[in-house]
Amino acid sequence: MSHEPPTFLHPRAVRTGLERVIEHQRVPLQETPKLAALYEEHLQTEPLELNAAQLRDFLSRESKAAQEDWIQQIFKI
Amino acid sequence: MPEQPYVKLMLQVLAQSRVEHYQNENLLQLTLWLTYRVLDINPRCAEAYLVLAYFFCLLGESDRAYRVLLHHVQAYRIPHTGIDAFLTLLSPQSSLEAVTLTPAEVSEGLPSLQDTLQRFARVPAVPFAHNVQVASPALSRLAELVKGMEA
Repeated sequence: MSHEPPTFLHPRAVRTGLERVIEHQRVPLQETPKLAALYEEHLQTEPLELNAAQLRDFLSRESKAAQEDWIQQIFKI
Repeated sequence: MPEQPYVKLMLQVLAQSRVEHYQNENLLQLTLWLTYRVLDINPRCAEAYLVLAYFFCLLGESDRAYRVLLHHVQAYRIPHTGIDAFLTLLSPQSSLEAVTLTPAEVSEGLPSLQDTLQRFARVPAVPFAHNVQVASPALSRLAELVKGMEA
C-alpha cells in the first residue's frame, strides 16, 4: 500500500481549503453538538487571548522567517 | 518533541477562535498556518491531523475529514484516542447509525394504522387480470427481443 500524502494534503489543496476558511462568510463554520463533544474531549485547550494588533502583525509578515520570529516572540509570553 | 510548543500554540489559537465563534478570520488563518507548520516539523503529528479534520467538519466536509484521518491511521499506524474517536463518528457506518430512527421517531408524523386501512378501503381494488392486460403488450415485446437475442 502506498503511503504518499493524499491529494487533500498537497499544498494546492491546502491553499484552496485555507482560502475557503478565510472566506468563511460564504462557507459558515458550524459546530454540531457531536463535534463539540469530540472537540472538548480531544482538543480543548485554554484560549491564548491574542489581540487584534498581534494578529495583524503576524499577518503583515510576508516571509516565513519573519512569521517564525513572531511565533518565537509568542512562545516567550 | 520539537513540534510540541507549536502544537500547544495551535490548540490555544484554535480555542480562542472557537470562543469567538470562528468569526475572526485572522485567528483562523493563524490556526491553519500553525497546523501546517506542525506538519512541516512532524508530518505524523496526530493533533495537526485532528485540527485539519475538525476544520473540514466545520466546513461541512466530513467525508474529507474522514479521509484525512484514515490516511493517518493507514500510513503511520500510530494509535491515538482522539483520531479513533473522530473516525468512529465520521465513518460511513456511523453515519448510517446516526440516521437510524427509534420506533417513536418512525411513527412521528405518519398516519395511524387505522387511517391507512381506511384510505385503502376507499381505493377501488384493481383485479390482477386487469394489470396483466395492461402489461401484456410490453411483455410480448420483451419476449420478442429476448428471442431475437437468442437466435
